[in-house]
Amino acid sequence: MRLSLKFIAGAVMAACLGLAPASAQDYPTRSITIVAPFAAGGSVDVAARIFAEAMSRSLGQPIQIENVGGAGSILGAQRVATAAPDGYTILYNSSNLVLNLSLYAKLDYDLFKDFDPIALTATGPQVLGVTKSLPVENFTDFVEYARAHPGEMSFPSSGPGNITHIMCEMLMSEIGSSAAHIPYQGGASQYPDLISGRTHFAMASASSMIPFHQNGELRILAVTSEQPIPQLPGVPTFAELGYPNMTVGAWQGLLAPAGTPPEIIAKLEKAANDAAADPKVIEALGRHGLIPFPSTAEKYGEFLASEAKRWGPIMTSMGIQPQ
Amino acid sequence: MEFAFLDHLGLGFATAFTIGNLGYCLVGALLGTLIGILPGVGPAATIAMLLPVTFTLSPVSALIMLSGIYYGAQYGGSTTAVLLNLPGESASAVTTIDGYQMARRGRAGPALAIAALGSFAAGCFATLLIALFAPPLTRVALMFGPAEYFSLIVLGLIASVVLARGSLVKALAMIAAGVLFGMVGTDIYTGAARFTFGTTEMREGISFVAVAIGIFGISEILRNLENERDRDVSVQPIGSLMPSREDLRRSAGPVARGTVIGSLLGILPGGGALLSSFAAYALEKKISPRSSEFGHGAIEGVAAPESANNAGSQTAFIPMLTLGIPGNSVMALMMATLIMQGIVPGPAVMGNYPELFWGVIASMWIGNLMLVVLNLPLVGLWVRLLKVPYFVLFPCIMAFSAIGVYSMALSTFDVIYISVFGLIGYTLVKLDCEPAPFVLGFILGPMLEENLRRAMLVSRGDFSVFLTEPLSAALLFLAALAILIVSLPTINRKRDEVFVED
Amino acid sequence: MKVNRKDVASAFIFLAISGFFAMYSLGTLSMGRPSQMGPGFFPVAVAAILALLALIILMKSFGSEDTSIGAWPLRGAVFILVAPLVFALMIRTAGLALTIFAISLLTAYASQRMKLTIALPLAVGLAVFCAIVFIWALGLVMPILPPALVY
Repeated sequence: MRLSLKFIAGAVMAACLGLAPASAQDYPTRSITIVAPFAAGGSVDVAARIFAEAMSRSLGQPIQIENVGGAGSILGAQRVATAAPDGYTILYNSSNLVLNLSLYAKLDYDLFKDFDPIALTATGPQVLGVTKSLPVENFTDFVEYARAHPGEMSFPSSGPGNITHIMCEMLMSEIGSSAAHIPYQGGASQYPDLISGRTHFAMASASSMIPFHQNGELRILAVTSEQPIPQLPGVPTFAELGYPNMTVGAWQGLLAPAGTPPEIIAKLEKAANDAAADPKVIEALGRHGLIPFPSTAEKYGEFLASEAKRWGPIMTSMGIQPQ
Repeated sequence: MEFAFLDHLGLGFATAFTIGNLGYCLVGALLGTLIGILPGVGPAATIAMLLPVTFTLSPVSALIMLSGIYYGAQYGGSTTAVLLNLPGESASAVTTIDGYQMARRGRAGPALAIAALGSFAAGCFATLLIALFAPPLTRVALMFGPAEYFSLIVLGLIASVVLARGSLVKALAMIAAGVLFGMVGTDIYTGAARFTFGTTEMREGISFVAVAIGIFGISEILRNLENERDRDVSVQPIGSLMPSREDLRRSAGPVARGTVIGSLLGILPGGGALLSSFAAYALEKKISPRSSEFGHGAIEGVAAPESANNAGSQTAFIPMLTLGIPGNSVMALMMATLIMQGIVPGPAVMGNYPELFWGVIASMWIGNLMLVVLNLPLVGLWVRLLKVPYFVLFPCIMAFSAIGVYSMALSTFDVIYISVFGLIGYTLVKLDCEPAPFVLGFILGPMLEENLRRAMLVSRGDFSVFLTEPLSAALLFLAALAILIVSLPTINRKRDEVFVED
Repeated sequence: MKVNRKDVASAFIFLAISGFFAMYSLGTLSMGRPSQMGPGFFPVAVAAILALLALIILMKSFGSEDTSIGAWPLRGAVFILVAPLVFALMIRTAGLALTIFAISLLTAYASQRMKLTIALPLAVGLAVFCAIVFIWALGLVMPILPPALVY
């Protein structure tokens, strides 16, 4: 009832005042919707919910998550690009949004013109894991084995153009070998075939692969983060191994429709950064293999542009054609 | 071994039998039943919304409540399938075949009661099975590679022609048509958009719930509107609410066999639990001395798939908890819940968190008991729904279906599919083409293609892999045998007799 | 000669479906090769199987008994099939309550037995009931009243 009463009250007020827009100083005066452009349940979705919960506490209004899944984030992004720029509909996006620039020939929105950045939220390191039947003990063995058997190994990914696919292709081109790409739907469904040796190696988020490493079903050989991961003692970073180009992670952030008043962006930016500094949020993110990655709206805008510049040529060189 | 098993169950029941956990179990089961009855609103969306609430609970309580929603939704789903011919999710699509026919013959009460009792019996058995064999069962999931999945799905599709009355060729054609419609959307291997007419919305593929509601529900409404001036289309007078002794006797075998099939297939992530309900139906129809009654309201046709479905959804927890591999979106959400609580599902769960593992298993049994106790008295209430004049019922069905379908992805496209598939479904039904094989082809088609292409990638283009892998070869052999049996002349004649008598 | 017209009609529907999927695949999708099947390979293969089955149905239809196809509920079909389209058109701009009211009236009038005295209260009741169950109780994210009026 509480919602419907509010709507009725709102309707009456709007009728009396002739639809006067609420001022940006008062923002937020009602509940905010964060569009999560993926199905409920994945780790990005969970991260969006962690941030929504913390941000709603500091903004003093409820925040609801609206999952608009599908088509690699396009549908959700489109929804927010065309929403009213009033701060009540914003997007929780992942690195997919940048990768999409090289994946889709025709997008109904412009990433740089239709959105105002709010802040980055979190980043997650990726790890390289191999099936236990592969005769390699460490990354050096792996490089040797891959060079001696070009085209013979195969690797799974969560779909063509996904970060898990691109990172494996990058790795192969860095070490001068090649391997067959076998796409799966979603991150978890690749594991039975990887464990039983039908596929040979994979790049995946640290949180999803660490349990298999600890159990001895898979062996993690290297991580993409700048620092080693505490749960993986003795596993080197790619930078330490001499492959600094492989130091990348999947990241997440918040975007608003273009034209949102700067005061509102500033309030949202502060709420997001406060959340990223909250120890409870840091702990919850950590369980999903994510690290807070706070930044200002301005820095996020620069970061988006630099990521787009970085991935475009990589994907073109991998022969990925926009569809 | 035996003592360990008793210890485990004891620990589980001690964990589940606290006032708090019983309460969470009840809340979950009730909420699940509610959303199950509403077509379209599924357990995945509900669990996602409740995720933040579970942060405040202990991991065991959170999982107990969420699994209550999961199997409660399946109970509720079969209620709508029996009463209104509306399968809310893929598992209850099979239940509509005989369940709805029973309802039309005034036997909705026994159909609903046997669905509840069969599910409960299956739940008891699956609990025992998990307690005894969980660790070795885990390895079964790893034996299935792409070639094995491909052959299993081929067997499933071939077996599904027994779901249909009438012409064998038409049933096969309906499967093929369903497979083709299942191809609409983004190709997962290349990202290419297929059959989308260049629209972004269709890249997501066609919503299953919209197809099921259109093909089963809407075409049933239209069938009821035929000749409405000449005859009264309301159902026959409602007979006894509870199953007779004869009903129970006839259901015992199907429930037992359905439970075994469901428990085994449920372990396979990606479609196992789904295959189980119609595999059980197909088996019963094949071996039953009354196979001609199937499709006309045979109680076995409700008992077998409902028990298989329940057993399968219970054993689906095994790969999620012990391998960290969720078989469906609901399991993925449960995994996320556990991870939020600091427990990473995987091989160590059973050893490190025995009270969690066994507590959840025991709570499933308790939850199933609660659902039976809750649902049996409700049967009378549900059945009274059938007395509502159909012209009052249809607007309700339409409103709930449209909202349910829309709520899943907030896509107006999905709602339009209801009309499209209502028209297609009704036309085909008019032409004596059964809808069930179409829906099955639609669900299994994408998996069939995915595994075929993956098997070819892994084998580097060698088609013989399906015959050199022993498990895959055995499954294909069974499929060949099945097609041989259904095309034998005697059986064909029997099928035709059934068809004529309709 | 005896012809089962139902079988002939279904055979042509299957041929049309097969033709659509085959043409679309051959025209826009790559076939690939067995070790690396393209997006068009599987649909074309299944469409070919469907075409074959349709031809068998067509052949068998000659010489078998014709059966009546029964009545077509034209009025009902129009009302029922238009209702989801109206829902799709209205829900974003008109909100849940008005949309449900509209499609309930439409669906109700699919039946010739419907009277205004039943249809109106039914539509109002459903609109209120759906708002309570789906938005208040289940917390689905959609507006109850037209968003343009409220804000």
